[in-house]
Amino acid sequence: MNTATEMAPASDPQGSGAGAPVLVIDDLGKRYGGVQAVDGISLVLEPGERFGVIGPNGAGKTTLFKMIAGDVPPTAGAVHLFGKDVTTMSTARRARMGVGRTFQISNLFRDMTVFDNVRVAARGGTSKARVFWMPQRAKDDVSERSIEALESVGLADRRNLTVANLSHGEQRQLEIAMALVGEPSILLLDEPAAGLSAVERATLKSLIENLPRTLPILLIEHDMTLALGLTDRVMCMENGRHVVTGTPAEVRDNETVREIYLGRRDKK
Amino acid sequence: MNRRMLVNIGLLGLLLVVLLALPYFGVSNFVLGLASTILIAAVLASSVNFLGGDGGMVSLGHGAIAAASAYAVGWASRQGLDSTTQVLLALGVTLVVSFIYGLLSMRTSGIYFLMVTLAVGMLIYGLAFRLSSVTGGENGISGIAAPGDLHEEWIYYYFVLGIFVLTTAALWVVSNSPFGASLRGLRDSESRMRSLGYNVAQYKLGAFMISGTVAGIAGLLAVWHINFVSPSSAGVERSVLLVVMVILGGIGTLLGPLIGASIVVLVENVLSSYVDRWPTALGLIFILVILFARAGVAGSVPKVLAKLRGRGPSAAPPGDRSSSKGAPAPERNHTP
Repeated sequence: MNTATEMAPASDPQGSGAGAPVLVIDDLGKRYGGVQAVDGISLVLEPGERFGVIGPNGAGKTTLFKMIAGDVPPTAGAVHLFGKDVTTMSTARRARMGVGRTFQISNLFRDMTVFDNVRVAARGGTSKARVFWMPQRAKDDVSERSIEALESVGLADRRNLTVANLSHGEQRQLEIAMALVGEPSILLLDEPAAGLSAVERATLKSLIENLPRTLPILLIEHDMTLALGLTDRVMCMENGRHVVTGTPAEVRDNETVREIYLGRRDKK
Repeated sequence: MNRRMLVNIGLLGLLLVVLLALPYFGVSNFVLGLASTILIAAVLASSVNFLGGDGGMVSLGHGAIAAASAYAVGWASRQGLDSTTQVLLALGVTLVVSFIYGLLSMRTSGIYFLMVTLAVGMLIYGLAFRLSSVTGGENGISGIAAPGDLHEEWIYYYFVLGIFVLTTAALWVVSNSPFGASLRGLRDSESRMRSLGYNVAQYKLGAFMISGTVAGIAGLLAVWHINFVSPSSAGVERSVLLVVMVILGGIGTLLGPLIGASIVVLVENVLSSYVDRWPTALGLIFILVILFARAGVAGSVPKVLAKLRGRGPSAAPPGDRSSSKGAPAPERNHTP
């Protein structure tokens, strides 16, 4: 493991494995035919850290995200979660290790109720989800945890609605409730604010801000303001490559980042 | 919500009373036999309905599963084995066949699932033809008698009715269980289920085993009823008719299979004695349902009623989620 990033042990006493990094990405690459979607990305996520990945459309953010979640196998490099090499591990196994994630385009059970969406998420492929010999209970541990998760995102009173009847903003909130109810050890958010109105965006921002500080978060976001406001450290990508990593202030003031986001016409 | 549940339970009770009282209406053995045929077809259709409605997996192989079970009974009866052994053998064969189906299809969905089940079904059909030392080849196996007093038409009717109620109740429980919810999750989004830690293939296999078991029970009921099994019972047409029943009745509804089975069996057995072109009639009914009532009979009637009620002076009762919003999508909840 020739991790390019410095592995300074974090002082955070909580989290898994006494301050060991939650997520280590090492020289990760993905090539689709002739297109190098992601090229040599490395990053380290410390316990309790909130890390943002920004960049324009086509920068490779989503491909990177998918390789971390396990949807797409990398063509180079490695992914380590909680000190374990998970590069070839399936999405489902990573989820059972404690990866909670949301989808960029809401990926919900559209014909089911909000409550059932969260309950299926809460059981998360454990033996509880295989119980076929008795009806679901309205008041067991799973249902209680689900209602708590719905309360935490402000959807508890909508729980008997079918997902198709929720607004877009509510669907994003449900995405987060479903990621949280499994009590993940790391939360991956893929453009959580995509397609939201300004008001919905503000709701979502405060929702993420108020998540427990102990939960490490990796946030992929196109919107720079939102990403910089929510994270401790930010990495900017362009054309699959690493541009800069630093604090939100450093990234905001970085010349290249400004060019990427504001255009570099005057340079030509 | 509560009132609606009471109404539903009341209607179900009424239906059960009518079905229980049927032999006392002085009906002929022909009518009783027809009623048994409908109930058996309904059991088989409910197995397809469970997999299709909750799991989103439409199977074209369930006729062959039932046939495999029927052949097991036929073979055992020809060997002179007693009825308990016949039942156990039918169950064993059903489980093995369902497992094979499940293994081959658990990594597919949608049209690919349909093709795999179709292929395995044709394999069983071919075996029924070729493996004549076991299956009797083209002639099939005849003279398979139901045990004890079950050969009496009215007793067999009650036997079938009992099994129908049991399997319907069992499938209702499974559908409303945590496993059922997981299955509907798979139907709506497999990628989401994977990201939640679900082993998708495992759940599909489990669902197929449950559904296949019910199909096998139906095969057993059928072969004891008509005392005969031949390759045509494993044919694709049988499986297609099952899907037609499920869609006519309303996929994902509790009573849809019974309604669909009634329509198909009545057209096939009653209408056919008046018109030669009964398949045309069935086809017309099917097209009309697809065009004007995509949710099937059991799925559309509540919607129409709700709409009629909504037009009246009193609005829909609070808590009554009027599902007319989701327009043509079939109602998948288990409401009778």
